[in-house]
Amino acid sequence: MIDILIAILIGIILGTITGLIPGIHTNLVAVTMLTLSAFLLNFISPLLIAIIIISMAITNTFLDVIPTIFLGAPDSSTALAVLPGHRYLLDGKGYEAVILTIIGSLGSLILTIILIPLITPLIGKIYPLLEDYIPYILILVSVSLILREKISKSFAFIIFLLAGILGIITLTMPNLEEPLFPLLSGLFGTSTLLISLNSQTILPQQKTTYPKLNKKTTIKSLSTSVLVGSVASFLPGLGPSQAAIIGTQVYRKINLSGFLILIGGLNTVNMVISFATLYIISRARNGAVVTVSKILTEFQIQHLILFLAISLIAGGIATFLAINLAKTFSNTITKVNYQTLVLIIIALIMLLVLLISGFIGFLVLLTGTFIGILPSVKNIGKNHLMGCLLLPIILFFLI
Amino acid sequence: MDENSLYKLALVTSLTGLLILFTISESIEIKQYKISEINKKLLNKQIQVQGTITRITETPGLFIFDMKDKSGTITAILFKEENINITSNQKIQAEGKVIQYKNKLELEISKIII
Repeated sequence: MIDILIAILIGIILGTITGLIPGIHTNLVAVTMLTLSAFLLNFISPLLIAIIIISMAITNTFLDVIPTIFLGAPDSSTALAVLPGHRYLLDGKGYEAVILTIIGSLGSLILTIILIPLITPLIGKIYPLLEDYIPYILILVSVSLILREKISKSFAFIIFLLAGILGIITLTMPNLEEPLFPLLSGLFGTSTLLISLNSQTILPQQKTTYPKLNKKTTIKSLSTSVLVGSVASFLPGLGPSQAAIIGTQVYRKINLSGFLILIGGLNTVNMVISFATLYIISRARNGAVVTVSKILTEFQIQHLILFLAISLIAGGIATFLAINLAKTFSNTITKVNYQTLVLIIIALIMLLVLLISGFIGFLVLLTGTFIGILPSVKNIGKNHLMGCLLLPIILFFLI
Repeated sequence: MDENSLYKLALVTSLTGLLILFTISESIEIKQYKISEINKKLLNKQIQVQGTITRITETPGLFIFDMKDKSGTITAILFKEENINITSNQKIQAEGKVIQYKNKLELEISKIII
């Protein structure tokens, strides 16, 4: 028992570190642990390694919004939160933005676990029905994404295509480590930072007031994230970001605070449902679960219950950590000159990309940054840049 | 909802998780033992041991071999359900049931990691 608790604690610490450092995705750590597992198994059992990974992955989904909102440096699951997060930050409400995503993460975690006895049998029934239609669902999502752009549909389409082509090139590039990191950092991160650098932004004093919540928005966002998150997580090729696009189509008129709750929720639901997916249809849908499935030779109902219990423990503790870390970030970020800070972050992202993904990754980051600046030229939504993930997946299924 | 209720909700969530964990931990944990620690109290229980294979005897349906760690040696039985190849001096981690055969304790392996 005590060894399980220690494993959960180690997972939470690792999840906090991977959550706070931009570019170190849980997948990277999970795969590293898989490589090390032959060595680690000399000291601890496969189950404990799995527990560390699960607890790390859940903690990570609570904390990865902090660098996304305060530094504009996202990972694949939070890319769409950069813009609303940044807007909150420039209003002096970075803390509120983090709280909103935390409410999303914790709320939908609780909802998902309450509903999981209903969701799991449904996955087994719906999966075979939807399996063949995934590319068409994605095409529908992409078309509706572009058609809903009010300012310029053709420009939105061009941006979708450009990002899509960059995505195809990046994701098919051999020997490129962590391709999503330079791709998404460029499209969503550094481009946003450069624009705010150019507009001579002064970062206002950050308040740490609790956001005013609209009950209806909160409930609607939470239920959308559980609904869309569950469906998206057991289908291949759909991550939290694609789910967020589908979510906003389902939800329709979503406001910024609702969107932040949705992003936080989807991120966590996606992770929790992927455990159920492994149990029901024996499919691993993300790096953490792939590693767990390779380490554990069997995955039974008691493993699923164990993982859900761990998710609750880690989720609760991660909420405490995220709130307090967000306060620390809020209080320190205005003490530094914003222009200098932005330059430091851009340099940091460039350095991390060079270290993790090498020179080719660096070129991807540069190209992505230029494409990422384009939407703001005509003031259209940045979500068309999600073509970088949608287009490659659609083509992957059709070809 | 204010910050305090969010804290409370987080606390309740963690405690619920802990409660579930306590309830199921007995059924999930397969404890690892040193070979010398295997005694009659563990009879018919699932345990895990790590060790090196020595002295393999192969029959059409099963392997019988000795597993050795720093603390001692135990005879292990592995049914050939799939294509498994084991050789002498291989380091393995095995999970299985402690059984009694001719007044001697043996390990009936259900899972083996080479």
